[in-house]
Amino acid sequence: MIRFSQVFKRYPNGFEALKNVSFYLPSGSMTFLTGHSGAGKSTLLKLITRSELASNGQVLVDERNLSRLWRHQIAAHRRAIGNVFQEHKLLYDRTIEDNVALPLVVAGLEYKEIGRRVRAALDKVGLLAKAKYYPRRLSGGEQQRVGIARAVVGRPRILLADEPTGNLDPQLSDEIMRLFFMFSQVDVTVLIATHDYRHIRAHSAAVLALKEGRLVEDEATP
Amino acid sequence: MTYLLRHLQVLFDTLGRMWKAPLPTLMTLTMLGIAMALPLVLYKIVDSLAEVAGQWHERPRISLFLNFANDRNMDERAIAFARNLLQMPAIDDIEYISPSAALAEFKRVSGFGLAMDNLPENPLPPLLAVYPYPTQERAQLEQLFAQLAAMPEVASASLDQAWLQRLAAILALFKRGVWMLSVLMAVGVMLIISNTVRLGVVNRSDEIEIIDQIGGPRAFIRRPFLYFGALHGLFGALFAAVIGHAGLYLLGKPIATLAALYDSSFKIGWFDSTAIAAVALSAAALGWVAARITVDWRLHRLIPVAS
Repeated sequence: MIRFSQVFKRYPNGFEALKNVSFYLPSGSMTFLTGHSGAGKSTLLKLITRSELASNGQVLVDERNLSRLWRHQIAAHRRAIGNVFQEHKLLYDRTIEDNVALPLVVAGLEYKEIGRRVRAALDKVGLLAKAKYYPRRLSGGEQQRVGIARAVVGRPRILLADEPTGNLDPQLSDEIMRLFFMFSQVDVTVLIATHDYRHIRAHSAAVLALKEGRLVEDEATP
Repeated sequence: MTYLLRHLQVLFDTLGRMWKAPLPTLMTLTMLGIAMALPLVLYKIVDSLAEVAGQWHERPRISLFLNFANDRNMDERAIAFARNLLQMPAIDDIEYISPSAALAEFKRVSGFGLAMDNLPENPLPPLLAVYPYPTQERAQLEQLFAQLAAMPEVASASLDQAWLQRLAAILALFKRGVWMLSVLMAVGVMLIISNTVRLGVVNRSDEIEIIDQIGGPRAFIRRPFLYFGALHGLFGALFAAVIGHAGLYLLGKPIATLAALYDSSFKIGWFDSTAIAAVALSAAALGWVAARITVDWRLHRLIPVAS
């Protein structure tokens, strides 16, 4: 679950990225985050991963108040979150399987277990055959799917995605969205930042709409 | 087990990275080698000189020839006298050399064994070798000497090897110099490694940011750079051993010629393996520390913790 209570975020240069934002996303929910660029979407996602800290208000992730997190607890907090980045953020000097394995390596899992889970994750995104490839041999859409496999391989409780279907053709992007939906079915809290209203209509998901740092429409609050 | 395997993996990964960039690695290691070879060679020279000096008595020594040569209880009297002298605060130790012991030693050293056997009686006087505390100033030492020489029990006295004291002082000076040079070079080694690690962090900044984002702990991010620093220190020290040996080899001939002119067989040996191991381990530790400081500082700027 993710809960924002009257969250403000002011940057040191005085820019107020989020103003009085409150919402609640229960476990197993799938929510779309919309808004123009500069509306505060990235800031909101960064607050969840504790890459930024709220200036005012509370951010709770799985009942944990992020402003009370110790420095050494931040890494473990991020491992509980699967993050799909807009610009893939793959390591180009490592193979696909090594890229996907990274969250598990970081967590200190055993090799055998890592191999098993990596194959399962790659299978889910349809890239098992290209496990030994380097990212540059893959298309943009395939690289995005590698990023998704890496985000889900650690079986996170929270799944965040920033424009995950930006580079994909409609058919592939529908597939990816179905994948996200499946995760929400197994109790993962899914939050997807997107411009693509087609998906929002296709899935009966809640929407958080941001405009100039304020929530303008919030169907997630009961 | 997995943890150990992880460390081994990082170790080999780091070695692989060094191997894949042979020219920069070689240049850095040579730089480190030269920096460490200089104090190493100087230390070896000073140490060898100190060893030669140590073959004589390192401490100043006052020989007291006692005037109770024909006394039947001379041993007891000499020892009692020595006990008294030991009460003096300036005296560290006294060795009693009886006439018979002195004679045996003289025979052995001089080769006049047969001639000595023909003497009707032992002509040597009982001798006390007095060792003052080595910290004594020259003036204090001479004062003590005068005081001892004036005692009624003392037939004659001699202050030995004052020049060795001077040599020891010079060596102490050089040792201090080598020590200071070593500290400076250690700082140099740390700076070189720090700069190399800094470049490594810059080159891998994308990777570091990604690992930080997906929940890699700082220890995990830091680890390859710590190995990088320690390995550079270790290999740098081995380079220093090679460079130092080359230096000692080149110095060996002229030193032998010079020593021959002084009727000495003085010779500088090679570094012993314990010394090399000690230097290598210290250099590895220095590299680790330098890497740790540098990485922490760079990570603080690269992936700051929002607060």
